[in-house]
Parts: sequence; structure tokens; C-alpha cells
Amino acid sequence: MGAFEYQRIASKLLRETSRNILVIAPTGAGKTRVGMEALALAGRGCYVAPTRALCYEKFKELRAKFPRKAVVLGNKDYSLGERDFAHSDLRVLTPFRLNHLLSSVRNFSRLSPVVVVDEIHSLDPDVEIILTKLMLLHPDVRIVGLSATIHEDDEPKLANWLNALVVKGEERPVPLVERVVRFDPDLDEAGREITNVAVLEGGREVDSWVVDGEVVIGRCDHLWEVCSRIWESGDTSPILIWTPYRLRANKIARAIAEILRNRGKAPDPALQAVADSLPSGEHTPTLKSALPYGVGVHHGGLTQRERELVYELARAGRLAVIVTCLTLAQGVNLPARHVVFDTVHEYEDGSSHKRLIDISLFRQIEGRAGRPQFDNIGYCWIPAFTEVDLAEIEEILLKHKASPLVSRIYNEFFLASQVPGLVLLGFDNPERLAGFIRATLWGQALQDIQPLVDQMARIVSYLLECRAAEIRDERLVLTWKGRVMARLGLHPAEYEAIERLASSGCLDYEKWVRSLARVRIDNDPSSVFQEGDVDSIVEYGLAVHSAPLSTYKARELADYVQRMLDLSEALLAIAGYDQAYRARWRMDVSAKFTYGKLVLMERLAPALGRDQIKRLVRNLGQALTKPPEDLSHDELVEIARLLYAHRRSFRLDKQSHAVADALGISPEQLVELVQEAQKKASLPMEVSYDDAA
Amino acid sequence: MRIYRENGQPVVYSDVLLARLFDKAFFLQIGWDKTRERAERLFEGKLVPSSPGQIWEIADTIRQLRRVTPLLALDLPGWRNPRENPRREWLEALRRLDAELAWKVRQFIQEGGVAEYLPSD
Repeated sequence: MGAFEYQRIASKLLRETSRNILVIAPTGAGKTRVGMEALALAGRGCYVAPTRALCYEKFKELRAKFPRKAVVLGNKDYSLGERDFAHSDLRVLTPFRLNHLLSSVRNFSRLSPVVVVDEIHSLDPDVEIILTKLMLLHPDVRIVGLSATIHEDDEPKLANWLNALVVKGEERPVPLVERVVRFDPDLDEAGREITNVAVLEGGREVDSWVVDGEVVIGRCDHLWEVCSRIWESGDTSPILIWTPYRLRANKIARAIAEILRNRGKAPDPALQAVADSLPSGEHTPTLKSALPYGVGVHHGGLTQRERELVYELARAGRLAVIVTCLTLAQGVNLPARHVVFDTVHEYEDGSSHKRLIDISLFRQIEGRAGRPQFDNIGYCWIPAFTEVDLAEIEEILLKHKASPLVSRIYNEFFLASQVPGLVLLGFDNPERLAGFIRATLWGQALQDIQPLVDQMARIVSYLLECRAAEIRDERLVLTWKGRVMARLGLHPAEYEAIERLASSGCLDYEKWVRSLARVRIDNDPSSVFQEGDVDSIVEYGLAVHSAPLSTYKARELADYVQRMLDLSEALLAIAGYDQAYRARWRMDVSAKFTYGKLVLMERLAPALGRDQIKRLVRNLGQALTKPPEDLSHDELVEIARLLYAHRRSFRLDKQSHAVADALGISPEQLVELVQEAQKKASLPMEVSYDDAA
Repeated sequence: MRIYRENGQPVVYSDVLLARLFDKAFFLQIGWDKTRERAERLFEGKLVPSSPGQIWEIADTIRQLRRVTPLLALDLPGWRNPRENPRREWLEALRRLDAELAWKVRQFIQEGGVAEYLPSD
């Protein structure tokens, strides 16, 4: 199949043996092709990827490559049950989804003779449990692990654990040159401020120049210096700038665009038109001001539409500079020959101190430079403002290939949520449970198993105490409650919180959200959420990404509460709560969490379906936080676009009357907005009036 | 700023920081409390490369100090030859300090400090 030697070896092993395979090759070396071939040979299987975005990308790739196969997707956005699993050939799943399906799908090994685990080095706790379950319960399932960034010491450790053959591709098909840019302030002979800039490659100076005045990091001068040096050399390939924070990303994009404008660069008319067509959102001003000069920004705070737009422009090579945080840093293919780091330091969790970024993260980010589809060389530029910075960069980032693998299953909250599922699979006493954990990568490293047995005994006592299990013939047997917990992957405290709220007939949105958030905060000591995070998600719900100064932790907590609400819905159905209560709960609690207490959405929601609500929340940006009367004309057009522009026809019916009413405009004005949105979207649409409405 | 001597030592107003670097004394006025506090710890030898967080603090402090121009420099010992606004020699002294600390950083990392940069179980 493949062009590289390691791909040929992997292909041979896939065809001639039934062993597990661990593929380790640099970023951009085509590991995915090995995974695809494993699935093609087996005809059925699962592809596990760590993030929603990667799952979606792989799902699209698999569908394109195997048009005759039934390919399905299971992640936070797309649910996938046992029946879907059984009736499909190829499934792309997040680890969480597959872990729970493994406890409930029958004939797993027949349905999925191969499981491909992408980015296996990230060692998500669910991945570790999945792999252990496969090895103990379905040893005939072939595991194919893919990774670019495994620490040398971990290769044999992981291979031994998986009993896998290791296939290594040492060479990156596109060479990557690492350059440290040293900025040193000084005075010239006349006493004027200057900055000496030196470019080091392997510790050797390969370029240098002098900048008049001070290079101010806050002003993004260092990034401008690198970009302009690249452009001065005649290289106009796209540059990807990485920075850890969204607001900083916006600032960089605006600063570079402004310097380009001040230096006489004319706006690109096509890009200007794209920028003008953008509706207003929290980060839209940045895009509007930067895009015309070929500068894009891409991060999780943008609306889905903005992200897709910037991605497509970048992919088409229309942008000279793309500033990103993590969204484009992992697993994506863009034509960026240069990756420039704004900084290699970020804040430690819950601290005002910074520290060097994780080595594996650094490798992932620099790996975006010089992709085989687009380039024959890649450059990574790292700024050093002091000799101390340089020492850290050289001794840590440039000397190490990856961070060591760290198991994250040693967390009692996580383990307690896994135990019911394990009991269901036959690990039905503390010793057997400890035996299972002993078979994990973490457990294998333990010298003394007794603390583990004690921990399992503690969890078992907890399950007995809360009547999730009972002992029969010295075996642990799950009660109905325990079986529900196993099926849904719930921690006992999560189950009890949901049951307590539901059995009291609670329909109070705030009480539900606060209680579910508190379960995590109170029971998982490793979580470091603040009270302010809880307030934010009560106020904004899933739209917390639009909240001014929303934190990463608040977004993580919102995701957790959303998952709990999904599981609550399942639990209410399984437990047979009456339909009227469930219907009201869906409306007053679950659906409301999509938009929290945002006035605009509170008024619009009764007139909209769930998908329409989600579309507005994902795409509307900061306009979400305004009351309807404060919306600008552009924002109203954008609402019309999101609600109606994808349709072939628009009918002024009862629902659209209600929408107009909620927005405080007349139905005729809504029609005009829809027509304007259509014109912008350049799609033909028939508009008609429903007299009955 | 006024400097006067008491028992042979200079006494300065409280908002002026005295930095003894190599064979010189620099009198600094630092507006930002955090930098001032860190600079004091650095010059007293209390801010040393012993963790990734402290190494970042050191680098950040040096970066901030480079933006400051001392009010006065004196030669040590003897507190001789006062020079006003000695920016060039301040940058030179900081460069030397930076190089010394970088050497200590490398030593710290090579002598096992690398583990501090790696995630642990």
C-alpha cells in the first residue's frame, strides 16, 4: 500500500499475522493509512480518536474511502447505541462511547475484529480501560495503536502491555528545521535602544539582524520580526502562529494585520468581501479587521461558521498568517510551512505562575509545519528572550521527543464509575476487580497489589452501602440500580443526585445544574473548578463559550453537566418516570441548559426546535448575550440566516410569527431579514406567506 | 532620590531598590510591585532555578528588569564613581546574570530537574 518503508512493513504484518500492532512514526508520516488498511482488511471495526473534531474528520475520511460500508459516528454530538453498532461496519468513536458500548454490545469481537486507537499516547483513562477489556475479554480483537509522540522508554512498556509488534517510521517525510530566535536588547554606539536578533539552529547562529528600538512582546513585535524575516527571504508560504490563549490570539491577528496595513498593504478585495459578510460575534471584530490582510484567527471561541471559514481559507492557501490556539494544533493538515510560537510558556492550573508547555504538546504543534501534501520542508520558530529561556528550550523541548506516558485511571471517582460495568463483565469480587486493574498499564507497574485490593474493597463497600450491589454466594451481584449505573457509566453519587432531584419532581433548572455540577466538584478531588465556574454555567448553560472572560474550566464543567443531563434523560426513561414529567423536564431543564438564562434565547426558545436552538447557540457568538431590542441589523440577519437560510423555502407560518414576535419585529421585517440572509448566502429560496398564520 | 550614608552604608528611600550585581551597585526604581518583589528575591539569591515555575519567574524578572534604567550606579567596594542613568552597564550586568542563571538552569535540568518538566503518576 504505502510509499514509506514502515507502511509496507505494517501492511505485511497486518496481512500475515493476527498480532496487535503499535505504529510509531513522526507527525505527517501517514500513520492513519495503516489504521485504514487494518479496517479495510477486517471489513469491520472501530476507529477511536480522542477529540470530537478528529472523530468527525476521520468519519469523513472513512466514508469517502469506504463508500459501500456503513460508517457511523459516535461522539458527544452524535449518539450511537448498541443497535447502531451492530448494524454498521465501521464506527468512529470517542473513547468514552466505546468504553460503555464494550460493556453492553454482544458479540463484540465478531462485530469489530479490529480496533484502531489513534493518538494512543494521550492515554485517556477510557482508552486504558478499553484496551484492558479487549485484552482480557476479547483477545481475538486486533488492536492497532497509532502515535507520533511516544517517549523512547515507553515504547517497550506500551508494546509489552499490548503484546504488540512495533513498527517504527523514523524519518519524517518532510524535514522539520527547528529554529530558536534569540532577542537581546542593547544600545548602539550612539546610545539608542536596539534589539539584536539571532537565529540559532542546533545551537549555531544561522542568521542575525538588528531591530531599532525595543522588541515588546505585548505588542507582538517578536512575531512580526519573524514573519517579516520569512517574507523578506522571498518565502510567502503560510505561517501558523501558536499561542495558548484566545484573547492573545485575537491580539496577535489584529497586530499583524495592522502592521501590514500601516506598511501599505492593500486589503484583498475577495477577503474583504468575506470579512464584510461575517455577522457580528464576540471575536468577529478581529476577523473583520484581520482577514482582508490575509490574517486569520482560529480557536474554540469562534462560532462554528467562523472556524469553518478560516479553516477553508487556510486550507486553500488564501491566508498568509493563521493564528491559533489548540484547535488547529492537533492532527490537522494545513499548508503551513512555518509554525511560529508566540511563547512556549503557559499558566499552570490554578496558579499565577507560568511554566514550559508540555513536551508532547510542543511536538504536536511544531508537527503542523511542512505537511507532505503541501511542502517539502517545514520550519518551527521558537522565541527566547533570555539565556534562561534558551537553556530551558534546548535542554527540555528540543532534547526530548515526548512526555512519558502517564496513566490517569488512578482516580477513585473514575474507578468508582467503572466498577459497576466491570462487575457486569464478571469481575465480581474485590480480588477480581483488583485483577482487572492490575492488568491495566498503570496496574502493571505496581509493586504491591494490596493497596489496590483495599481500594477496590472500599469502592465495593460504597456500592453495597448505596445498594447498587449485593453479595450472593460470595459474588458481587448488581441490583437494578447497579445495572443502570453500569449501563450508563454513572458514579454512585451521580446516580443518587439524579434520582434525588427526579424523585422530588424537581423542574428547577438552576437546582438541577448546580446539583449536577456539585457532584463532580465534591466527589472528584482532582477537579479544580471554582464557584464562579458554576455561576457561569448556570447563567450561560452550554453557551458559556460566549460569556465574557469564560474560562476553559467553565467550558469543561458545562460539558460535564451536559453529559449528566443526557444520562439523566436516559435514567428517567429507564426508571419509568411519567411522560408528562419527562417532557416538562426536557423543556425546563435539559433544553434550557443549551442557553441558560440568556434573555434572547429564553424568548426565542419556545418557538424553536432543539436543533434550531443549538444552531443559534453554536453560531451566534456575543449576540446571544443581548436582549432582542439591543440586536443590530446584522445580528438579526444572522439569526434569520441560521434559522432559515439552509431551507429551500420560507413560509411565514405560526412558528415564524412567534420568532418575529420574540425578536420584537413584524413578520414582514422577518421576511426581509430572511431575504437579505438568502442573498448573502447566495441560495435560491422561495418565500411564501401562510394565511392561516 | 536622595542617598546618604549611615555607618558607611548607603541608605535609600524605601521605593528604591538596591541591586548589587558583580562589582557594581545599581539603584532601581521599579513601579510594578510584583517585579520589585521578585527582583528583591532574585538579588538576595532567594529566587533560584529549582522548579519550572521558578525558572519562568527568573526569566520573566530579567525581561522586566531590562526595561528599567537604574537611577544610579556605583562601583563596589567603596561605593565609588556615581553614574546617573547607567543603562548600558545595567544591560551588560543583566546579560551576565542571565548567562550565570542559564548555566544553573542547565545544571538543574541535567542533574535530575528534567523530571519536574514531565507529568507524573
